Amino acid sequence: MIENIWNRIISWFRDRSERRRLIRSFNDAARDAFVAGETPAMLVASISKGDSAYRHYFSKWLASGFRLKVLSGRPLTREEMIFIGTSILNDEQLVRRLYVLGWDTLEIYGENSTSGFKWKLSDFISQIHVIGSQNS
Amino acid sequence: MEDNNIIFEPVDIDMSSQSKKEPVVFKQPIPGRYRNKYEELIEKCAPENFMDPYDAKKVDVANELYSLLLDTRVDDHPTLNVLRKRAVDELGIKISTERLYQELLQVCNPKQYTGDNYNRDLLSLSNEVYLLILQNADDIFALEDIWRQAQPIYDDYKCRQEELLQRKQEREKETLQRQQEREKADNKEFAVFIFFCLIVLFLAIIAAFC
Repeated sequence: MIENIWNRIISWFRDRSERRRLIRSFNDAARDAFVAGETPAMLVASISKGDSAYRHYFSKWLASGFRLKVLSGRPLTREEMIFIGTSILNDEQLVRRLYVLGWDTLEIYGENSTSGFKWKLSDFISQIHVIGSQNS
Repeated sequence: MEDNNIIFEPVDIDMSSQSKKEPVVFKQPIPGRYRNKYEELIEKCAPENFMDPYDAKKVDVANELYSLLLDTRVDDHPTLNVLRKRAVDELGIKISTERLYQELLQVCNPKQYTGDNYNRDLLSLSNEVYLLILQNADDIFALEDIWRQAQPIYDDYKCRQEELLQRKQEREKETLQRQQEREKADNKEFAVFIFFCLIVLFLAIIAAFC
C-alpha cells in the first residue's frame, strides 16, 4: 500500500513536469512559427481552471483548462477564433496528449478581449476513436 | 493562471466541423510607415528592386515610373494615385496599409457608440465598416474607399476628441487653481504661526529683563 501511495506521488510529480514541458514546448514552437512568418498570429498557452462540466477520468482538479491567448495586434472575429480552435483540435496527437495529461477544456481568446470560446476535449477523443474504428 | 474574467462560449463539434469547410483567411496589414505616398513610391519603384532576380520587363516599367515620379510634386495626389495604381498592377508592389489600418480601427471602433454614447445609426455604420476594415487589411485601395465611407464616423470622432481635450484642459486648469489656493492658505498659516512665536519670544525677553 505504501508503495502504491509512493508511486502515485511520483506519477503526480511526473505529470506536473510533463504538463509544464508541453506548455513550454508549445509556446516555443508557436513563437518560432510566428517569427518565421509561418503563422499570422502568436499563440501563448497557459493552464487555467477549465470547465468542471467537461471533466473526464484523467482531468486535473482546478488545472484542466488549456488556455490559448492569440496575439495578433487586433481584435479577432468569432470565425477566426473558432478556426484557430478547430486547427488545434485537428492535431490528433496533441489532443490525445492533452487528454492524457489531464486537460479537458481548450480555451481560446484574443488579447484585450473579455470573451472567447471553449471546447470539450473528450468530444474530439471520441471522434478520433470512431474514425479509427471505421478505418480498421 | 491569468485573465480570470474572461467569458468563454462553448463550441460544439458541429460548429467546429462547419468551420473546417469554410476556412477563414487572416488578413494582416502590409507593414511600413512612410511620411507620404511619394516617399513610399520612390522607394518601391526604384529599378534596382527588380534586378535580383532580374526581371527585364519590370525594370523597364520601373524605369518609366521612377522617372515620372521624379518629375511629380510630393503633394500632387491625383498623379501619385495614378502612378501608384500602375505600380501595383504592373510591378506587383504592395503598398503599406499599416498606418491607415490602425487609424481606421481606432476611429471606427463600434465600442465607442455603446453605453453612455449610444448612437444607433453610427453604431450600425461603424459595425459594417469595422468588419470591412478587418477583411481588407492588406488592400490600400479598399481601405481608402472605406475611409471615404466612414466620413460621418470620423467627423463625430473628431468632435468628441476635441471635447475630451477641452474638458481635460479645464480640469487641469481647475487642479492648478486649487493647488495655488492651497499653497496660499498654507503660506498664510505659516506666517501666523511665526508671528505668534515672535510674540511669545518677545514676552519671554521682557519677562526675563523684569
